[in-house]
Amino acid sequence: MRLLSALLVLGTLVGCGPVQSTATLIDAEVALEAARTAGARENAAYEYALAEAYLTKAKETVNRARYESATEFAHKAKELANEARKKAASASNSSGATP
Amino acid sequence: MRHRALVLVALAAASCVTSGKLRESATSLRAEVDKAKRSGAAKCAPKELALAESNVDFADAELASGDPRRAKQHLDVAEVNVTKALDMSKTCAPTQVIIAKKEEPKAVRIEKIDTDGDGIPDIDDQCPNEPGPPENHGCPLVKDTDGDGIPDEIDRCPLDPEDFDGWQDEDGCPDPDNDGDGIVDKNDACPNEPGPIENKGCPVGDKDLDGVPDNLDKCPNDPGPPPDGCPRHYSLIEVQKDQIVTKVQVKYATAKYRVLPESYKLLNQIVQAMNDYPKMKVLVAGHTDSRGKQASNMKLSQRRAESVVDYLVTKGISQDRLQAIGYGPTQPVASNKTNTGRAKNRRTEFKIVSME
Repeated sequence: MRLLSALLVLGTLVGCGPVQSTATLIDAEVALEAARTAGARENAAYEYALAEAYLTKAKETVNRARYESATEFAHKAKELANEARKKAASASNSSGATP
Repeated sequence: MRHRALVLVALAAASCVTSGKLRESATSLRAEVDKAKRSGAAKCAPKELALAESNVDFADAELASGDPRRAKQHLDVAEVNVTKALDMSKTCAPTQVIIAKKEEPKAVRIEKIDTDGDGIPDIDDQCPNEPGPPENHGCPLVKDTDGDGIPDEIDRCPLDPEDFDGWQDEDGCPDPDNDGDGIVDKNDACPNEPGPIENKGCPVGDKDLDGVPDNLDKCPNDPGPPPDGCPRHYSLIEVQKDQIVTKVQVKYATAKYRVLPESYKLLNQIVQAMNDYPKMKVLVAGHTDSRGKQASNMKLSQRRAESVVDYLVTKGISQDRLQAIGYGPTQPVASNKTNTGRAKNRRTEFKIVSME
């Protein structure tokens, strides 16, 4: 029983890495899509490009099974995507254009 | 086994060295990224800047995880993009205008020295050591009472203005009669040369140079004593322009210097001539022939000349008008080989030194 519990805990720990990183990657991809929709490619090109680069790196890192790093990159990509979206929205509002 | 261990250690060491260099590269590229940001690359080259910045981060992460190969790949990407970003920023970024802070001009304080204390600084004072008013450029005012331009301190006639007629104009005194001949300059045909009024103030010539002006000289072409200027006729001598020519020789005792009485008549006429020409000065020159020792002859001729002078002085002629020189045999006038010649060489001459 003890051995079963230990194996269960170990399996959970080993299995959490991919799950967490994948979830973060999805969040980042959604955020980046929102930014793109908000016109961040044009109005927050720098932030958008950064977010895109971090997301790409996160995916590449996941493929190498380095989930912790991948999570960090994906998290950073999400933040940058949000920032790009906000900036794009702000730029659109100030110019009177609708996204 | 040992060999494998050594290989592993070597690889580990190489890896450390490589990682160190990559970290340096990452640091350098991060500085370039910052520079690109400051240059406006976020607007001009957003994608390049983003790739550069992110790849430097990725390189750091790879180095931290112990993968220098991937780190190197990221650094290469970062380098390419940061270079592009910098290039693109050069033409895109707004011109940065730096408004320099205007410097306040430094005040240079110049100490003005006034040595003479006249209130005019030395630099503007033409007389820095003498006080003077500004209107005279700091130089003392010169007092000139008679207004002739010559300061009183050097004006011998400070109350009478100089007439500036070309005659002693520096003394400050007017010169109504420059030559002092008693004829005022305006009536004097020769204002700077004294002359009698009969000659319109111009000097009268003296052709024969006897000291008697031609207008008073009854014999203007023949020198003669005043008052008539006509030559005196002496039986034994003749007064010429430069000498008194004797018609006979002065006689002395043989080999001695005493004048023989038979020559007194001749010398008395010399005295008469010198009285007739009171300003005449005479050199009595003694000469001998060449017989005997020259030193003795020199001494003898000197003493004979002195004897003549002594005689003339006893007759009232001033010593100041007479000079005795013995030339010995040095100035012969004839050959010393004949008696006649030697007789001519033994002589006493009376040379006129001056008539005035």
